[in-house]
Amino acid sequence: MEGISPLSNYNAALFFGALTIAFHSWANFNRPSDGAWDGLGDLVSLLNPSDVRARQVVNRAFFLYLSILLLIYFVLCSYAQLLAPFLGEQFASLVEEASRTVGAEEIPKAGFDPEFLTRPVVEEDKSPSVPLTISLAMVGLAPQVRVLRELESRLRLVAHWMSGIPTRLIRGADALSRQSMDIHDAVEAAHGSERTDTAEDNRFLIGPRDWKRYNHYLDFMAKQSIPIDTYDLKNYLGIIITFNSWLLNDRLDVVRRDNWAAKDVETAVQADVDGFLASMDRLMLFEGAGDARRASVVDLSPGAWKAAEISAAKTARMISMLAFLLDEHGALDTDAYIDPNTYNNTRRSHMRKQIEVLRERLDSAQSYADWSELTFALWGRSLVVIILAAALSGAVAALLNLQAQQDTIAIWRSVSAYTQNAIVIYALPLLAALLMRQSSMRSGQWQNVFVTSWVKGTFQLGEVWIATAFIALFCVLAQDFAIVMAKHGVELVASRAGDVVLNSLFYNGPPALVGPTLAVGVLLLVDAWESGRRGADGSVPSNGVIRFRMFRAVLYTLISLALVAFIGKLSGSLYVRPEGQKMSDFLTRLLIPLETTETASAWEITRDFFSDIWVFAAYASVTATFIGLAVSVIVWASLQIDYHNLVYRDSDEPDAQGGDMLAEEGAGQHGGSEPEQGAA
Amino acid sequence: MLRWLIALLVVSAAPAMAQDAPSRGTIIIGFRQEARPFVWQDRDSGAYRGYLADLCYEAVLNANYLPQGVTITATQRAAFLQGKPEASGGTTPEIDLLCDPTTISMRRLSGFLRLKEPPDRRFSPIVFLANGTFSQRPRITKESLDRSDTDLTAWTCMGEGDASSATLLVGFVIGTTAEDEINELMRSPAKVLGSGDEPRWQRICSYEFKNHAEGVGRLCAGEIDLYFGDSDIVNAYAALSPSCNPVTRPKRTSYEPYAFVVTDRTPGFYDHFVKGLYASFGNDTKAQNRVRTYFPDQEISTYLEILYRIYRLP
Repeated sequence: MEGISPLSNYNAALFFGALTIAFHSWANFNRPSDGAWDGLGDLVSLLNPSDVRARQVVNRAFFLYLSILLLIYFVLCSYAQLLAPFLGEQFASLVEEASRTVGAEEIPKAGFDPEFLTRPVVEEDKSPSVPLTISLAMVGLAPQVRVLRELESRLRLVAHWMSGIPTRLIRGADALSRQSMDIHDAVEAAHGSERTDTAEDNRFLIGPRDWKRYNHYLDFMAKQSIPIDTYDLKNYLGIIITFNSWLLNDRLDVVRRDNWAAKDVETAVQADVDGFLASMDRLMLFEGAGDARRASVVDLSPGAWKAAEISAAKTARMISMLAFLLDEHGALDTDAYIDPNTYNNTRRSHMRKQIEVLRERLDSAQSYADWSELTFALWGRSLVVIILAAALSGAVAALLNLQAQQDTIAIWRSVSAYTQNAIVIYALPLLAALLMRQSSMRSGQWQNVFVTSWVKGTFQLGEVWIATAFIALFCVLAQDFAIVMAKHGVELVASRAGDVVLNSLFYNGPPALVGPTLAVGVLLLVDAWESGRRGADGSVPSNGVIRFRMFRAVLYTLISLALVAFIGKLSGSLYVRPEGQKMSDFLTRLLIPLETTETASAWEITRDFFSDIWVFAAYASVTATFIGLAVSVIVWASLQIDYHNLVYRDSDEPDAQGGDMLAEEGAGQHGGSEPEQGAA
Repeated sequence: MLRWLIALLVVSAAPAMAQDAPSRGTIIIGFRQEARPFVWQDRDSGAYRGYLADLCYEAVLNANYLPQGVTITATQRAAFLQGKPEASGGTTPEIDLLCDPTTISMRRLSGFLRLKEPPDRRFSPIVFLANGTFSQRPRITKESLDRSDTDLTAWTCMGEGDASSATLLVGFVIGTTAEDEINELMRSPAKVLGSGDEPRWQRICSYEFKNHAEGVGRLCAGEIDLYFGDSDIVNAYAALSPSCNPVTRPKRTSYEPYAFVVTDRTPGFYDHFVKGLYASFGNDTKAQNRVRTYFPDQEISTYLEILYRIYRLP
């Protein structure tokens, strides 16, 4: 009988376990992740995560999800025994059962096998069943280990969320469905005057029946005493009628279904639109809908009209989702060539105009959705910029230090150290701070200090600073512990853990606070930038005011950084270096017992700090560089958004204010001269 | 609880079955007191328990003999296997069957053939397959290998250096196959146990314990660095002490096929016993229950499974 090599068995099992995860992870990834999916309404059962974003975005999110899943898998396999107690009883029993076997697991080859007895005992083998069972548990096959399923579920949620699945679609469709369509103003403006648009030939390219229908609706609402404010309802109806003609009835000829086939989604939307319009026809007695008896009895109960408005909002949102989905998958060809042989000149002119309108509305909604979500792209690019900048700074610093002596290894070490520190000190706190802000924004809890109260805002920024400082300090402590343990062994470090913590916090803690301070500074900058949005009273601050607010944010940040630097210097100076100890030796330094100085007074320390102006200048320049980088990232991201234009059309709180704002806007136009389209 | 009930059932069934079936005579079975989970003596009842003990009782009963257990120490067992009763001071009881995790090896087979003094000894078919491993205490440091203050006069030392040299203390039970393993360990070129970060040793001192309970107890107390034995046995004794957490060397260092030793004290017993043994393996339910009783929550190894399947004779 052949002897079994457990090491190769284990590796083979590890490999097959990874393959199992890779094969099953797509099915898991492509499942809805949380309650956010309810926002898709009736489409929730028709859409998978891979349907709601472009293929490239989904692939990127899946790659991230799979990579982290595999990383966790390998870590779990490597430290299964160690991690078992922390992952719950089920996991512990899984590992224990998988690794406990009664009886011989190995038998030497036929005859006397000297290798079996003489091989060195330093080798280590592991049970091949561990990676196999862990991989099966991670993908949700038997056995069921709750903690692993929870891990996968949360990871999927993060991957979806970072890629805007499905939140980008929901927010984008929300924004799109609340935009005012030109047809509304044009039809209302034409009332009582000569109508240039007809059912058969109108510049909005609305189908004849829908054109008549919309005109009838507006006429009906103008003549009857409708018990609710009908402005929102008219807007929603405009969107539904317009998109129904443009997208579902192809009157704009921009839908390329070869690129994204979702017949069931289109069918569901069409059914919803048809159903909604039929109910509106009945309510507003269009073309004899309802019987003759009802024609004389108009339903003017507030409940019926409120229900109609809710139903209109739902349908407008649904058809906007379809528009958003078509565009996301490249099935809306807004650059399409309009064939002169198919359409006459007038029609082509109308089509070009309306395609532009559609593109503008979609871009505006997409910008809103992108800005509302911290997307994977923003996260990834911010990280890459910070890391690259840190690596570059490391290389430059090493070159300056070495001067004539060109040591490649030293340069790489310096690059590595700067990069690592940048991740811990700058990148992590910045991302955590943005995440906290985003989370508060979503729940409507974020207080913009430039708009609301500085007292509330300061407390809030303080919370962010404390949380991010905790993250940075924890990472610094972990780094220091890892380095010291590698050098001095676990036992020694364990016996002097207190010294390591104090030394680490006093020496490396203050520099780690720079990142959180910068992060709060970036949040202040973003708040200053966002304070340019329309306020609750409808006023929009001038650009000068916004610039001044941003200047204040930078100023406060610099003052805070100087304070942190001073505290760092102060805490670092509390030490007395024992004789013969090299301060440059980081590892040794960490094990020096903490002693306080008796000679240096606070004044001397302060004087020393400010007298070393070159150190201060270098420190300030580095921090300023990072401020610049962080701001650049944020500004660069925001430059892609026509934000003020979006705000002008919509509000950040559509449910609460959107209708009113649009009403104001619409009222202004209504009472005024002929709208732009009418004049054209 | 279940295992005790089943063990009690098996033990109490012995006289009842003997009364019902015609008995060919009484068979003296030698059991060790401390070789869990294969065989041990319950301190309260005095009954012998364990996976192999149950198997012995069942096979003897299947062969229509009346089993009668006697205790045999590790020293007596070693003397019995070597055919040198004087090695135990002549105290080794006369037995028909040694019911113990005894490794069948070419050396022992040759030794049995060379025996001149009665009784003749023969190995039964293999009844269990095990791997011998070294279990070590969790932390072995350079400082802990300094044995200059330890009295090692009762220990057998080999290797370079003196009392101040880095010394590895290894334990095993007298009469086991540990000697070869320790020699191999000494020949290891690396002379480190785990990763390269672990301290090197220069010499090994070994000690023969009277039983596994004592040896594993010393390992758990951190008084020795390594203990050689069947991993199932070491784990069983380590489990008796909640604070004990020896690190079992994951690499199996030896192949240990266990078999019973049968003497010719009772003429004709060997053939009947072998038949009774195969009959014990033939009942699949009983065989599985036996494993589940003494190795709960553990999977039977592939090799052992195959062996037991082979034993299901037509």
